[in-house]
Amino acid sequence: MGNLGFMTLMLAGVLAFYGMITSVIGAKINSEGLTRSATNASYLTSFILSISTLCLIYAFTTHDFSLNYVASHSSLNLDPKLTWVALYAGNEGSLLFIAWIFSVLATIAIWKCPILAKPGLPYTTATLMFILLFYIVVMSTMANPFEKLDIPPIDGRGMNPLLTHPGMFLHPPMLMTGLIGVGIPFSFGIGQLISGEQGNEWLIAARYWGLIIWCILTIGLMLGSWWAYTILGWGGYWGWDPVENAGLLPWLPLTAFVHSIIVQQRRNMFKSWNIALIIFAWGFAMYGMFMNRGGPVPSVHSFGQSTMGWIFLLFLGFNLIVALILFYINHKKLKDNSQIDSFLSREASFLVNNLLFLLIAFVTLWGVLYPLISDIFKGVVVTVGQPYYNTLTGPIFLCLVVLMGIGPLMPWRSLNNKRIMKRFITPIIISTVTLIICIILGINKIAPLISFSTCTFVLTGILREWITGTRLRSKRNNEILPIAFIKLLLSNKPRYGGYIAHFGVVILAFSVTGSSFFSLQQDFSLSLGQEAELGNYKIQYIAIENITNADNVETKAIVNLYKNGSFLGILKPGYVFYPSFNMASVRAGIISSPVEDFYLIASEFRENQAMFRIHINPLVFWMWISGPIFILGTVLALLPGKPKYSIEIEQLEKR
Amino acid sequence: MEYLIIGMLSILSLLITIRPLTHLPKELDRTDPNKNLFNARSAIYQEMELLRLDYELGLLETGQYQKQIHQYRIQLASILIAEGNT
Repeated sequence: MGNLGFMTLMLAGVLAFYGMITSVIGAKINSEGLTRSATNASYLTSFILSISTLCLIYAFTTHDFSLNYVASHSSLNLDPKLTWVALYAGNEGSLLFIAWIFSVLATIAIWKCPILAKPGLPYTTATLMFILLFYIVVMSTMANPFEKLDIPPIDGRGMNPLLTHPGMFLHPPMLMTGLIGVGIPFSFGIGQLISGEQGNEWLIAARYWGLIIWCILTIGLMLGSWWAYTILGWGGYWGWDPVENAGLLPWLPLTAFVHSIIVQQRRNMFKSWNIALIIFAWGFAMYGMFMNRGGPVPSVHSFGQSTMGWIFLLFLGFNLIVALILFYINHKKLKDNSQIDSFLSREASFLVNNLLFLLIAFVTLWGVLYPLISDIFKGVVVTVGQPYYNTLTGPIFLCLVVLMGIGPLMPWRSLNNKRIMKRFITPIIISTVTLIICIILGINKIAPLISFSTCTFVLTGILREWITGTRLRSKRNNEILPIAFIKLLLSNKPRYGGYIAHFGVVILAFSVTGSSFFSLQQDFSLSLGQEAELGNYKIQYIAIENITNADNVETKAIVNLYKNGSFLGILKPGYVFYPSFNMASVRAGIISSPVEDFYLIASEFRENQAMFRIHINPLVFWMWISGPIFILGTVLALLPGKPKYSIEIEQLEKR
Repeated sequence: MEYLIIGMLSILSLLITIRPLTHLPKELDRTDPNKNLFNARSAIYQEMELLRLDYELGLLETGQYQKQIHQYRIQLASILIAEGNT
């Protein structure tokens, strides 16, 4: 199957090259036949790459150790369920996965291209095929997943132990799909720029794809946090690791983009700004690929590490230069038809929101690059740690949450002061009451006080919108309240989907605040039978358990857990040691509740003694709840409905 | 076997790719103009409905609301004329 896999890869490369060249020629000479031929070639790339991917999966399932990649990332003992994870466990396989998923997304994007974006579609297709071709060329010349070994080993090396976690079934594919997926709205943007249209034609496609990719990237990041929390064994969920940051960086301008595209739809503004945002997002996504494929900063995530980071850096540079040249050439065509009437308007709040997201992105980028910069200019590697990120980005995130509450209450264009007061009065009262309650409850730190009251402000704003809208609808149409509420949500899916996503952000902010400012942590050295207490919890070290498996050795502490004197359960924290990788994977003992998580790590096992680290992390539970809410909101916003035709109508009138 | 499969895939790809060059479909990707107009018209009705809801929620000033509704009515009229002409 190795030969077939490689040859299909080559065939996909030929098709991508043909699709890229032919679509441009077809557009230039206005040949419908050529552009259709290019489209067919583009569709075929996904079919052919699917076969290539299936060949690699087949090689894993049949333990074909004649393939270097299979021998390096699986073994005879590998749980068959993990075959899917093995596919992208290393550099070559993950590149194949990225190319395959991108080809599938590209096919759907071309197939479902909205009518308005059709004039730029040949150039969009060419851009998509160019990106795909890059990955295929890299695989076929530098990272061939079907490379054969002269002497196949009897057994493979096995899979990186850190990847044997349930989160790995979805986290890496989601993140890789999210990162490469930014290429879809980017390609529509480039198609728009090259075709020289007026700046609104790509809107529907860009919004749709922007939201889909945003949702995928969000899920990827959240699953990554969950993985870090449960397997890295440091008690936290976000460590500002360089590769974590690489995933976050494109998410930030993409979030700004999915907001500002609404302004272009509604007010015909921010045309060039939106193109710039998607170029930024793509630049950051490519930077993420560079970091993952041999970036200069070490990371706990570097499973796909290789020495070919430079090629991704070159690709990033080329993409940015071409995109910026096209942007410069076309900037006059992208001039806005209207401007912000007042600072107290929804469009102004969108602009501030965008700037804050970009500010966080550049603060994060500076933190990631600072060790390199300090090394180049001072000869000393100065590492930037969590305090830098938390201190600088924390307040900006809080400002964003505040803005998230203010923005939806603002009208388009402008509003007089009386109306502003009317709309803001209830949220302000409720958030002030929350502030007072928090102070009474003994919270005396400024940041959480601001955060909790801000969360209630936003929540009240959203609820107020829902309640007022539902009542109005119920009264006007004689509908019962639940029906009126559902119909209200369905009446403007993008808006109410956005509110649901905002609701998810409030829950996330609530959780981050709780876990950041009220967590407890302490280390204990316990002998068998000894007890330790932290907060309301008490642990008792009962026994040690050693289990030898085929490819690893598990060492676990058996611990009884009590809360306020009542028995809560037995925890088995420990680690799994993988001799073939000389690597240990931590298994924390976690008991989670809506109020707080009890998180126990055991290490340094001796005959009768072990070290224990207890974390009590309040409100972390809500972080994992916020994820499905984000998805729900995005799905609602994406649900098909009658699209906004204001731009189509404008064009229709011109005809 | 592998070479046979790749050979067949190559031929299939070639056929699918060159087909539009030899058999240009008579009906190209043109959407029915009447359908477009109908979609646009129903979308305007929906926009007007949303605008009214926005106004009732206090998201719009009376002046803005009336101006916007007026614009929609003009757009609607131009669509109805276009529909009549097709």
